[in-house]
Amino acid sequence: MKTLDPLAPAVQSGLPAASVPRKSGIRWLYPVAAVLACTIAAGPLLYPDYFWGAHDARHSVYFLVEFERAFRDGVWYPRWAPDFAFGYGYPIFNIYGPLTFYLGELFRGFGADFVTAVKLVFGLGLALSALSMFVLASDLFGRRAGLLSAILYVYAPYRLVDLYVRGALAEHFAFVFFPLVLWSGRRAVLDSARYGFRRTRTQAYVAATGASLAAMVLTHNAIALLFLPVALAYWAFTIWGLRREQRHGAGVRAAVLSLVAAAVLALGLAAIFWLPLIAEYSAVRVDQWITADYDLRAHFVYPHQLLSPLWGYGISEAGPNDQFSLQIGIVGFVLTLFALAAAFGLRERGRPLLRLSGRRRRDLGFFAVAALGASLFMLPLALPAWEILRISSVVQFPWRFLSVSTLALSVAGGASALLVRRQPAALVALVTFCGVAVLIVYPSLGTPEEIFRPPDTPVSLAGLMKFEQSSGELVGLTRWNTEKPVDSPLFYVYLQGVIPDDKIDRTSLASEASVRTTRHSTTLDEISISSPNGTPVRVFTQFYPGWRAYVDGFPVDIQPSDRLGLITVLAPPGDHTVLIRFEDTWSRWAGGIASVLSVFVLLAWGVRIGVQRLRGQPG
Amino acid sequence: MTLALAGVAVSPLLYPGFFHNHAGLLPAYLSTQIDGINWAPTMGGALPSGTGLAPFYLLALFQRLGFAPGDAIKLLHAAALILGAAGSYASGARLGGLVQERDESSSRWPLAESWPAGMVCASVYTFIPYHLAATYVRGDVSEALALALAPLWIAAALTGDGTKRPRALKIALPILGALLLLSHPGIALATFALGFGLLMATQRLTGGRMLEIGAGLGLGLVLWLPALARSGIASAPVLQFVQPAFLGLSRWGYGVSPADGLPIQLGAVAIGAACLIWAVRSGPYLRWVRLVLSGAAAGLMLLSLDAASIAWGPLRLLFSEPWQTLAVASMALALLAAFLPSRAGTGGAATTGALSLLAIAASFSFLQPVFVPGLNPGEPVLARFGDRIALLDFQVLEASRAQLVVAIDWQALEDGREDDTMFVHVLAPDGRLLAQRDQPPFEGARMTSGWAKGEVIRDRYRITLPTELPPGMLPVEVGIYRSADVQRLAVSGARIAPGDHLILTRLSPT
Repeated sequence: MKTLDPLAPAVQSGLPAASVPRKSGIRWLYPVAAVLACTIAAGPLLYPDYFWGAHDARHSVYFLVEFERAFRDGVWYPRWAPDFAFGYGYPIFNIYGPLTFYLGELFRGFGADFVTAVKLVFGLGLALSALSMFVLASDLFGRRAGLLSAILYVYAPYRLVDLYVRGALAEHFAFVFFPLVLWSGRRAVLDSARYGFRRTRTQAYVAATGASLAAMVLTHNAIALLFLPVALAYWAFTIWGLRREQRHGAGVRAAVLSLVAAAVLALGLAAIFWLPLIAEYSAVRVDQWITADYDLRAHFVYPHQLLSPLWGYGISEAGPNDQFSLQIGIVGFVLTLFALAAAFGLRERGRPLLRLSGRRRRDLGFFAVAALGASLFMLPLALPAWEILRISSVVQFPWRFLSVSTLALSVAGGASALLVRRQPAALVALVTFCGVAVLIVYPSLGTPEEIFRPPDTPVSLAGLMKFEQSSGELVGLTRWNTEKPVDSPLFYVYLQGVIPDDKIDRTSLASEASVRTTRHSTTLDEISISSPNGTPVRVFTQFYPGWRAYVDGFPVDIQPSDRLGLITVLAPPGDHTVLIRFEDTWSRWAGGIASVLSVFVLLAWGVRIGVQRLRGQPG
Repeated sequence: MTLALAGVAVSPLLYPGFFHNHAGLLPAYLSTQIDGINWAPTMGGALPSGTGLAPFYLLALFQRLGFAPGDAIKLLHAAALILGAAGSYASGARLGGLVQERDESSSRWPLAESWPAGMVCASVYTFIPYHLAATYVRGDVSEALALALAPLWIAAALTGDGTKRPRALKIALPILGALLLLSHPGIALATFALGFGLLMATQRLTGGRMLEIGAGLGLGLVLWLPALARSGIASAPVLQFVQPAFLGLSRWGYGVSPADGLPIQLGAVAIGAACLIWAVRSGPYLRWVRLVLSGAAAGLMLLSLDAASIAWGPLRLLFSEPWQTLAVASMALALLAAFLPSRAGTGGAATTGALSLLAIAASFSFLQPVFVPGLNPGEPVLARFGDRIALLDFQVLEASRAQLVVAIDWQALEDGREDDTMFVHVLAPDGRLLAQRDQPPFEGARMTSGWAKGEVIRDRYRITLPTELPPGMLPVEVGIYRSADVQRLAVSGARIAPGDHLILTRLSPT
C-alpha cells in the first residue's frame, strides 16, 4: 500500500520528524488542528455569563480587579491588594504569581470588562497549552503524536476541572508552560551536546528554557514547585541517555552548562517574585492555608477516584466522597498502556510492533513512570512522604499532582499515534483516538445553570465585600493579625458603592486631635494631624513588611495594633503630616533589579541571536 | 495490558465502603450459614433458579481468611472481572489464532501473534454493559463468577488439537466445567453448547475432548445433587422478558426489572463489531465460526424476548430470568469482535487500540455505582427481622443529655411486600421506657413495600430524651412492626436471643 503520509517513514524509523522534508500545507495542518480542537473545550467560555459558582471563579475576577486598582495607581508591579480582608488589604501578589493578571490587564486595555478579560485569559490558556504540547510531543514522537497529545492535554479531566469546576485561572494558565519548559530544555540539552553552546539555535533554546521557566514561576508558584522536580528529572534523564548513547560524551558538560545558564536566567527573570516571596514568606499567616478545610489529609485521592467517571461541581472533602472529578484521564491512561505495550513487548507478524529509537523508548518510559509516580504521590499512602518534604503549605492539595499526571499521560498516550501507520486505517484510528478523547469529556462541558449563579455583574468592590463575608475567602491575614475579621468599618462604606478614600480609624485618636486625609491611594495614606498632646493614629490597613511611616518626612516606627495588626503610628504634639506608604523592602528591590537586568540580558541576547541568524551565521 | 485495562472496570471496587446493588451483603450473609455438602443458599424455601453454589463457598473461604463480608463480596467481583478479562483474552486469542491458522493453512499462527484478537475480545467482553451491571447493579455473585469462568472454559476447550493437547488442559477442562456448572447452571450449559459449536467449526471433535467436556458436566451434576435433594429448586413465578429495544438502548439504572431501568444492554461496540465482521472478507473457517457465534448470539438474544416465552418451560430451572441468556450472547459477540483486527491488515494494531478504547469509553460512564459510605463492611449482619429485613450496622451519631441520634443500615432480604415501621426505644436501666421514636423509613418517603431485595438503606433516628435521666447505662432497643396491625417482626441472629426486639447498645448520655 502506498504511504500517503510523508511523516510515516520518519515515524517508523524513529528519526526526528523535523529531519524529514514535508509539504508546507501538511506541516501546518497538525498544529492548526490542535488549536482548532480547543474550540469545543472553550465552548462554555462563549456563554454570555460567567461560571461564578466555580470554586475560585470569583477569586480570579477579583484578583484582576485588585491588580488593576494598584496598576492604575502607577504601581507597575503590584504586590498589595488594597480591598482584600474587608479593606484591611493583603499582599496577595507578593505570594501569588501575577503573570495572568498582566495578561488580563492587556485585555482590559483593549476594552474588555473584567469578566471578559478573565475568560479571554482562560481561552488563551487552552489554545496556547494545546500548541505548546504539540510542540513538545511532535518533537518527541512526530506530528501525529503531537496532535493526539495536544488533544489529550486539553481534554484531560483535570484541565476541565481547573477551568470550569475550580475556575483556577493561574493554575490553568500554568499548563501552557509545562511542555514549553520540557521541550526547550530538551532541545537545549541535545543541541548543546551535539553542536556546542556557540550555535545560535542552541542559545535560543537556552534562552527559551530560562524564559519559560520564569514564566511558569510567575504564573503559579505552587504548580511550579511540584513541576520543577519533574523537569529536572527529565533533563537529567536526557543527559543520562546521551551518555548511554556514547555519541556526545564531550557534549554532556555543554548540556549541563546550558541548563545551568537557563536556570540562572530563569532565577534572574523571576527574582522580582521569588526573592520577596521567600524573604517575606513568614510575614503572612500560612496556617490559614493548611488547617481546617485545607488540611493536607483531607485532600488525598483514593485509588478508585483515579479512574472514576464522576463529574461534579462540589468541593474536595475528607474521605473518598469528593464532589468533583479527580480522574487522571481514562483515554490518556489507556493509550499510554497501549503505547507502552507496543513499544516494549507486543509483536506483529514476528516483528516488534513499534520499533522505536532508544531515545524515544526512554522518553516514553520516562513519562509513563512520571504519571505513575504522580498518581502514587496523590494517594493516602504517600502521607509520610508529604510530611517529610513539608511542601503542603505551598502545594496545599495532593490532588494538584493531577497536573503532572495529566502532562505525562498526554505525552505518553500521544505516542500511541506511532501505531497509526498507513491510510486509511491511519485516519480512522487517529480520528478514533482523538474523537474518544473529546467525546468522553464532552458531557462534562454542559455546565449546569446553577454554576452561572448568582452572577456578580457588574463587578464591583461591593460585590467583593459580599463575597468576602459570605465565603470567608479573600480574607488573608498577615503575621500580626491574630483574629480573622468578619467585617470592618470600611466594609459598610464599600457596600454603599463608595471606594473609601480615608482609612483613618478615628477611635484610635486622642480626644482633642483632629485629622484629615490629604492624599490616598492603594499604597499610600497622607494624613494631616493636629493634636496638642500627641495622638496615636491607626489606619485600616494590616501591617506587612514594606509599610513605612513618616512624620513630617522623618521615619517613625509602626506599632501593629492588637488582634488585627493594623498600622498604628504615634504622632507627636502639634501639627504634623503623617505619611504611611507601601515601599520596597530590600528583597523586592534586589529582586526587581535582578529581573530588570535579566530582561535586558534576554533582549540583548535575543537581538544578537536574531542578527546572527540574519547574517546567516551557523545556527 | 489486558489485565491493566480490566483494572479500569475493577476500580470502583477499590472504594473503601460498599456500593448499592440488588444483592447487597446478602451473599456474604448466606455463605456464613454453610452447614454441610448439601447446603444451598436459600432463605428458608427452595433454591432460586439461576443461583450457584460455588460463589458462596468462595465467599465463605474469603471470610474465613479474614475478609469482612463486604470486602469478601468485592474481592469476589474483582477476581471475577479480572479472571473474565484473562479468560476472554485467552479465548479470543485462541480462536483468532486458530481461524487465522486454518484460513492461511500454510503455516501455524502462533498464539503470541494473536494478541490483537485477544485484546479486542477482552476489552469488549469486560466492558459490555450487561457484564458490568451484573456486578455494579445486580451484585449477582453467581453470574459474575460464571461470566469469569465461561470464557476460560472456551479457551481451554479450543486449545490444542488431538495429540498436541497439553495434559494439564485435559484435567483443567473438566474442573472448569464443573466449577462453571456450580456457578450458574444455565450459563454453563449455554457455554458448553457454544464451545461444542466452535469445536465443530474449527477442528476435529475427538473422543478425548468429548470425554473431558462430559466429565466436567458429570462432576458438576454430582456436586449439585445433595443440595438439590435437600432444597429443591424454585423458578420465578413471573418471568421478565425483554423488549428488543432494551438490548441496544443506552439505559442505566438500578431498577429490578428491564422495564424499571435494569441495564441489560449489550452495548453499541459489541453489536457494532459483530455486525462489521460480516462485512469483511473471510476464509472458509471464519465463515463457519462467524456463523456459529452469530447464531448463538442471535439465538440467545431471541430467547430473552417475549416471543420465546413458549420455550421457557424447563429453561426456568436453569435461568432465574430470560435475560440471563444474554451473558453467553455477550461472550459470543465479544468473540466475533476478536476477528476484526486481523481483517484490518497492517492497521491491525491501530484498529485494536481504537476498538479497545471505544469499548472502554462507551461504558466508562457506567463505572460509578451508588456508593454506600456509611456502611461498615467490617461488621457482620447483626440481626434479621422476620427474615425479610436485616440490620447490618449502626452508628451512634449523638448521645447528649438532650437527644440521641442513631443511624442504622437496613437491608431488604426480599422485595418489599408490606409497609413496616421501625422503632428505637431508650429504656431506663430497670427496663422502663424513657423515650421512643417510631418511624417508617425516611419518615415515610421510602416505605418498606417499595424496597428491592438486597437494597441497603441508611436511616436516622432522633430521639428526644427527658430532662431527668436515671443514672447508669441506658439500653437502646430497636425493632420493626407491621404498620397495618402493629405486629412486631421476630428477631433472629447468630448471637441474639429470639424475641421481637434487639438491644442495640447501652449508652450513658453526657
